[in-house]
Amino acid sequence: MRSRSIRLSITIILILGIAIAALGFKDINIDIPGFPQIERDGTGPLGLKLGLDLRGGGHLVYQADTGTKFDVTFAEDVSLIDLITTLEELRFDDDAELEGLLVGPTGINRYLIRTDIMSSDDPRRTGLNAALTEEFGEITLFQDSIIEQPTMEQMQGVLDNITGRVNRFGTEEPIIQIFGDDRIIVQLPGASGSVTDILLADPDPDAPPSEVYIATALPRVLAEAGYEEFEIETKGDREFKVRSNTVNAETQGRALTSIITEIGQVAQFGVTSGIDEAKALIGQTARLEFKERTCENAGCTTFTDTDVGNPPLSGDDLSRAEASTNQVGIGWVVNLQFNSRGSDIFSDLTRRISTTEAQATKRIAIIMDDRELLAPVSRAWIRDGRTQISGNFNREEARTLAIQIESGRLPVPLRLIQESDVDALLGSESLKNSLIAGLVGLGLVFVFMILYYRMAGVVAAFSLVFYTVIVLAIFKMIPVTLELAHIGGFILSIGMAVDANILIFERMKEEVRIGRTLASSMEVGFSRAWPAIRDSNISTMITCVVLLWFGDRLGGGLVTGVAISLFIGVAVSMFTAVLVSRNLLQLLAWIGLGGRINLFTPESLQRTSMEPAQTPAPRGGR
Amino acid sequence: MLDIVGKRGWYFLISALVIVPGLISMIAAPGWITGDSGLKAGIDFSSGSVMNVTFRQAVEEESIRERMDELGHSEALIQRIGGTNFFIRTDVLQEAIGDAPSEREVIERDLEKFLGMERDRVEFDTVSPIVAHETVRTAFYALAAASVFIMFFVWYAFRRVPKAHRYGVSAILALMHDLLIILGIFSILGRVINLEVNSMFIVGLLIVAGYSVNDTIVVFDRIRENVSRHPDRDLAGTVNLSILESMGRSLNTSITTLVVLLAMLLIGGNSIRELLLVLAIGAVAGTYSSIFIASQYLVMWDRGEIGRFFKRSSSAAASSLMHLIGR
Repeated sequence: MRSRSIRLSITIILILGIAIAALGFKDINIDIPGFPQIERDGTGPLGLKLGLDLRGGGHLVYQADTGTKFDVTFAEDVSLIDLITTLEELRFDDDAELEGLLVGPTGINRYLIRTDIMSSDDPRRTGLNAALTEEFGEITLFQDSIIEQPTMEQMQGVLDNITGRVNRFGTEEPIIQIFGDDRIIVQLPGASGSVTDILLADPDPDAPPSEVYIATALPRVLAEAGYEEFEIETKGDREFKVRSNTVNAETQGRALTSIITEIGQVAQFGVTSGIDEAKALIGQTARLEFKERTCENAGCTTFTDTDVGNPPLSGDDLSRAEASTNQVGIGWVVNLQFNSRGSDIFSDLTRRISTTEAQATKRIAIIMDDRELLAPVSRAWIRDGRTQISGNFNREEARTLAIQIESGRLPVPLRLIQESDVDALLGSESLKNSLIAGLVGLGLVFVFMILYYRMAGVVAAFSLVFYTVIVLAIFKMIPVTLELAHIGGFILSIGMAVDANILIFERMKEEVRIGRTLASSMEVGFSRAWPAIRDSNISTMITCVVLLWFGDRLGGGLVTGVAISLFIGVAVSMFTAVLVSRNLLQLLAWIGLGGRINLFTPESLQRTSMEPAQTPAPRGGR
Repeated sequence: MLDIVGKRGWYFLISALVIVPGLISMIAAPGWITGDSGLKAGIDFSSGSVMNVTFRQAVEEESIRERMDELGHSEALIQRIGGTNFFIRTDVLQEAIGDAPSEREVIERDLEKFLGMERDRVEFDTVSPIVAHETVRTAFYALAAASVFIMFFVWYAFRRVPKAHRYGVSAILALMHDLLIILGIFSILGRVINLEVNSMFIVGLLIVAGYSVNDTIVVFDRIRENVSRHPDRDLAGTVNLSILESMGRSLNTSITTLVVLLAMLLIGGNSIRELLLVLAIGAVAGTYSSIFIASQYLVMWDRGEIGRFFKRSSSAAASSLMHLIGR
C-alpha cells in the first residue's frame, strides 16, 4: 500500500510538472519526427488562446442569400441613396414591404437590387417595376432572377474567396469557417475600430527631429499615405496612437515607409483593423475576370493585363468549370466551358495569342477579386469555348481551382445576419476582471474549506490548485479558445471539483464518528463516496456530450466551447478526487498526523468521545 | 430525528410559490397566451442592435435619449448598467453604403463628440431576424435529448435498487423544476426591471441542466446505499435518513459554488452577468430540488400519492396538498 502510494505521488508530481511546463512556456513548439508537430503560441496569459470577447475583435456571421435579384437600369439619373430610401419605404398591397434588401450600383444608373422574394407569383415581384417607374421615371432594363440555396461546393468557393480577402487585409489569426448548410462565420481578432500604434526609435543624436516637426509631419504623412478620418493621440514622448477608419494593409505599409523616410526610424508599428472596412471587403460579391496578359520579360514577372471584349470577359460569360482527369487518365485538369458570347471572345483571344510567337509573351490571366488564380499560356485556337487547363495539378489542386472559378461564375450573394464586436480595451478589462474574480472566488473557497474541514481542507485546497493547473494546461494543449462563457463553465466545474472533496470528507467524518482510525476512515470514506462522485459526474458528462452534439446548431462556438470546458473540468475533477485528494490524505495519515483526528474534524472528535452510541445508523460491512 | 420527508407538502408549496407566479408571468400577455415567449427577448431572439458603451464622465439617460432622438433613433431603449456604463438597444443599424458611414459609426461619433463616450470601450452586437428563433428550438431539443439520456443512465446506475426507473424519472422532474424556476424568475425580472434574455441565458440553462442532475444523483446515491443496506425498511424512512446524511455535503457544495459565482458577479465583466445569474439561481434551485423535490417524488410515487394527486379534480388536488401539509 505504502509503496503504491509513493509511486502514485511521483506520478502526480510528474503530471503536475508537465502541466506547469505546458503553461510556463508561453510558446511551445515540439517537433518530434514521426509525430504530429505541436505548436502553441496563444496570445493570452500563460499562452492560452483567448476568444474575441476577451481580446477584442469582430465576430461576423454571413448567410448565403436566397431570394430574387433584380437588374434595373433607369433612363434618368437616380442616386443610390434615393433608391435605397425609396425601396425601404415601399409598401405593396397588404402593407407588405421588401425584406433583406441589398442594393449595389453596377453601372451608370444601373443597380442590382436583392430582395427576399422567393415565389414567382409574389405580388411584390410585379409591383416593383411599377413602383420604381412611378418614382424615377422610365426603366430601360428590368430583369429578375431567382437566387437559390447554394450547394456545398459553392459554399466552399465562397469560403475560399472570403479567406483570400481577409488574408489580404492583414488581420492576425482570422477564423473563417462554414457553419451549417449556408452560413459562414468570420472571426477577426482585433478588428474593431482601427488603431495604429507607432513608437519612434531613439532619435539620431546628430540631427534629432524636433517635436514640433513630428507633430506637423505625422498627420501629413498619414494623410498622404491614405489614412482617412484619423486622430492622433500623443501617448508619450515618441509614442503615438492613431485611430482611423482605414484598415487597408497597403495604406499602412505606405505610411510606415513614409514615416521612416520623413521622420525617422520606427521601433514599433502595430495595427488593429476596423470592422466596417472588413465588412465592406467581405460582403463584396466575387468578381472573376479573364484578361490578356502581355509579359515584359522572360519569367513574366512584370506584365500588363488588358480586358478582352466589351463588356470585358468575366465570370458571367462562363457556363461551367469542373475538375476531371485528362484524356490519358493520369493527371488532373480543369475544364472550362464558356457560353456563346464568351466562346466568341475566347475564340478571338486564343486565335491571337496561341501562335508560336505570341506564346512567348502572351498569357491568359484568370483573376479573382484582383488576385491572380492562374495565368496559363494558350496552346491552341479554341473555337468552341471548351478549354482545358493543365498544369501538373493533383486532384486536390484541380478541384480547388475549379471551385474557385465556379464561385466567380455563379457568385453566392452573402448577407450579414449577425455581428458582435468587442473593443480590445474592453476585452482586456473583462479578462483582468474575470481573472481577479476567479482568484478571489478560489481564495474564498480555500478559506471556507480550511475553516470547515481543517487539515482536510488544506488537502482540498491543494487538489484544487492541482485541478486548476491541469485544466488550464489541457485548455492550452487542445487548444480551447477561451471566451467569457467558458470561464462560466469552468467556474461551475470548480464547484464540482470541490464537491468531490466534500463528499469524501463528509464520509470520512462519519467513519471517524463511529470510532474508526483516521487512516481507515479515509479508505472507507473514499470508497463510500466514490459511487456518488462517479455517477453524478457521468450524468454531467452526458449532458456535455449531448450539447456538443447539438452545438453546431446552437449558436456554434459558444455552446460547444462551454460543453467542452465543462466536460474537461468534470473529468479532471474526478481524476483529482480519486488520485490527488486521496493520496494526500494517506500521506498525511502516515507522516504522523493520523493520530491527531481533531486536526481534521474537530467537532466530530468531541462527539466520538462524548456520545459514541449516537451514530446515524448501524454500519454493516459492505 | 428531523422529519423532512413528512413535511413534503410544504416543499412543493414553497416551490409553487416561486413557480406559479413565474408561470403566470410567462403565460399572461405578452406571453404564451399571445404567442410570445413569456421572456423579455434580447436581440439574439428578436433582432436588433445593442451597444454597450462607457462615458468618460457622468451622463444622464435623458441626454443620451436626446442624442438618439436627434439621430433618428427614437426607438432606442437606454438603460444604465452601472456608473457611466450604458446599454443602448436599437433596431438593426444600417451598414455602410458606398461612402456613407454605417449608422453605428454615426452614433458612436455623435456620442463621443457630445457626451464624451469612450470609443475604444464599445461592445456591439447586431442580430438580423433570421437567426432569432432557431436557437431556442434547438436548445429545447438538446435539453429534451439530454433528459432522456440521463434518465436512462440513472435507471442503469440504480439497477440494483428496486424500481430503478423511478430514480431516473424523479431526477428529470427535479431538473424540470429547476428550469421552470429559472424561466419564471427571468420572466418576472423581464417585466419588472426589463431584464432581457440572450443566448448566454440558453447556455446557462444548459449548464444548469448538467449541474442539477449531478446534485440530485449525490442524494440518490445515499438512498441507493441505504436501501441496499436495509432493504426491509420503509422507503420514506430511508429517504429521510439519506437526506439528513447528505445535507452537510449538499449545503457545503452549493455554498462553495455560490461563493465563486458571486465573486464573478461582483467583480467580473458585465457581459456574462446574465449567465452568472442563471447559474446562481440554478445552483440554489438545484440544491433545493435535490433535497426537497427529487427524493420526495420517490416517496410520493412509492405511496401512490402522485396518481391520487392527478386523478382528483383541481380543487381536490389543492385539498390533497393541504392534507399533505397538514401532516
